[in-house]
Amino acid sequence: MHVFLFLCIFGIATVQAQNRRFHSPTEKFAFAGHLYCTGQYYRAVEELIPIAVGDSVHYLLGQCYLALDNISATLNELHAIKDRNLQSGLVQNCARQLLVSNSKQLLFSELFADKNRFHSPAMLPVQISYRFLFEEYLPDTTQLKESPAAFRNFLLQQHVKREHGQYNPLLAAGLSAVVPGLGKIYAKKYEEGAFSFLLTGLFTYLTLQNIRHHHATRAWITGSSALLFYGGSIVGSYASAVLATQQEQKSIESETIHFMKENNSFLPAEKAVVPCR
Amino acid sequence: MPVKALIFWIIFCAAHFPGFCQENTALLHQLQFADSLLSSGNPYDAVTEYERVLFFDTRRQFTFRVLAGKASAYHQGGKYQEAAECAELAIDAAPGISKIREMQFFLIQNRLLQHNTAAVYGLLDAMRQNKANDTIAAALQYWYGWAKMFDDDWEQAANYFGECDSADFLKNFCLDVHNKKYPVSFIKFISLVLPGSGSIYTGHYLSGALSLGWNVLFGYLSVHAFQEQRILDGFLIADLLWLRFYTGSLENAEKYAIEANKKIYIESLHFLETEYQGAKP
Repeated sequence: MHVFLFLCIFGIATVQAQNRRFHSPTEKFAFAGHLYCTGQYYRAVEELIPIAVGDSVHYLLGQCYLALDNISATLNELHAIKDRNLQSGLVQNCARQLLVSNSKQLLFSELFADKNRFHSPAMLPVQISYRFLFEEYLPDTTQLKESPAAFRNFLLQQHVKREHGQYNPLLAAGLSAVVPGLGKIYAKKYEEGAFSFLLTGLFTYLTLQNIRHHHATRAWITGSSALLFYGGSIVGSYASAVLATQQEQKSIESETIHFMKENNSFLPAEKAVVPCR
Repeated sequence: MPVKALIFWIIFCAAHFPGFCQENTALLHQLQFADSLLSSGNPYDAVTEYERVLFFDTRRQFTFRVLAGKASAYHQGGKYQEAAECAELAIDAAPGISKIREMQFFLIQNRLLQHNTAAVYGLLDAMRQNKANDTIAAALQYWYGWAKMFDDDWEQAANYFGECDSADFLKNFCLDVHNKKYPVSFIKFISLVLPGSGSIYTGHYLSGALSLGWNVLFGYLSVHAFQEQRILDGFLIADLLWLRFYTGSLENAEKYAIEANKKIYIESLHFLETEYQGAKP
């Protein structure tokens, strides 16, 4: 009897030993987590695809795709997740990635389509920042009041800066048409404005002098140059205003992103599936 | 102790023995699977499987073998930097001096393929300083020679191979290459004396002849202008035309010599890669 029992137990244990191949779904998932944590995203995806069942797997797959910058695949995984917390975690990471990579409008509607994903008050700064950056309007005061004071103040300050950082290109061109170089000064290009004014003035003066002394050829040459600089000043002022507005907007954007990163406006996922050490 | 209890303990221990072996056996199977992938020319999957062994090998029994395998797989896949990183980790995990040396030589070959000769010299110097490596001094000289070849210093490489017993072929080959190479300074010098001669020396006959022709023409014109007291013309022709072709001839000669030497360097390494049968990166 004892011998029989021994053989049975020994046999079962031996068979188990032979069967262990580290390819069961649980082991694959654990290994995929390790691959993800060590930055081997392609390999992690290959491990996860055969076992793509369950929220945790979809979440990890989504994170891998996100790390690989494959946004459409990330969204597919996002839609497959049923657990709200996990979904919200992945959306936050998506938002972070998008904000950092400055991919404007790419997933905005998708990420914010479902209001329930952002029921958490802590997610409010993310929403507000997105609207501020991508939709270019300041959210209403109710929403602002609910957000943290430091964030609110910063955003209001940025909003004022943005209002002041808008330069009208037509106005700049008009100013330069009246006084050469004034449009450039309006667009805060002081040196260029002064240079433009002096050059146009110099050639105009030379033209007048040449006309006065009946030097027709010279008058033509200097007159053409004066006209060239005058026209250049108008076109240049228009371009400067456009450029200055863009630069100002870019600086506001990067400051806002920097502020959000510094103040950790993005929360970590509420339920970490694979904690990386 | 009662007999029944004794029997129970014997059964218990015997039944759990496979359990203790279980991890080992399975890991060994996994390792063999990874090795088979590597030997069948599938380095990408081999790396994944080695990584799997590393992850599940909680007792760190196969660390060296896995890291060495991973390094080989990366090497086979042309990922030399990753291979070097794995080899460095494998050296730290190596169980004995022979395994350490094996990985060090692997690392040297890998670094050579990366053209990172500074790292090779560093590694070889460190190995030479270790007294335990006195027995493999010839092998060290051999790899110094290879590093010098990759550094395009064929004469020095021949010297290193001269100190090895079984590297006569490489020594003679290096001397041949050294003799075949164009002396850049000499070529510049002859171009300085006779414009265009450097280009002709490197086999660019038309370019050399044209250079010589332009220099003769503008030299004649500027001298002629000075002789006729047209000083400004003389200066302008000499400065803007003659000097331009004279310096151009010099630069061309140097460029052709460097290009020809580069071609010789590439062809020589290619020959070694395809034809040489001994130890090579």
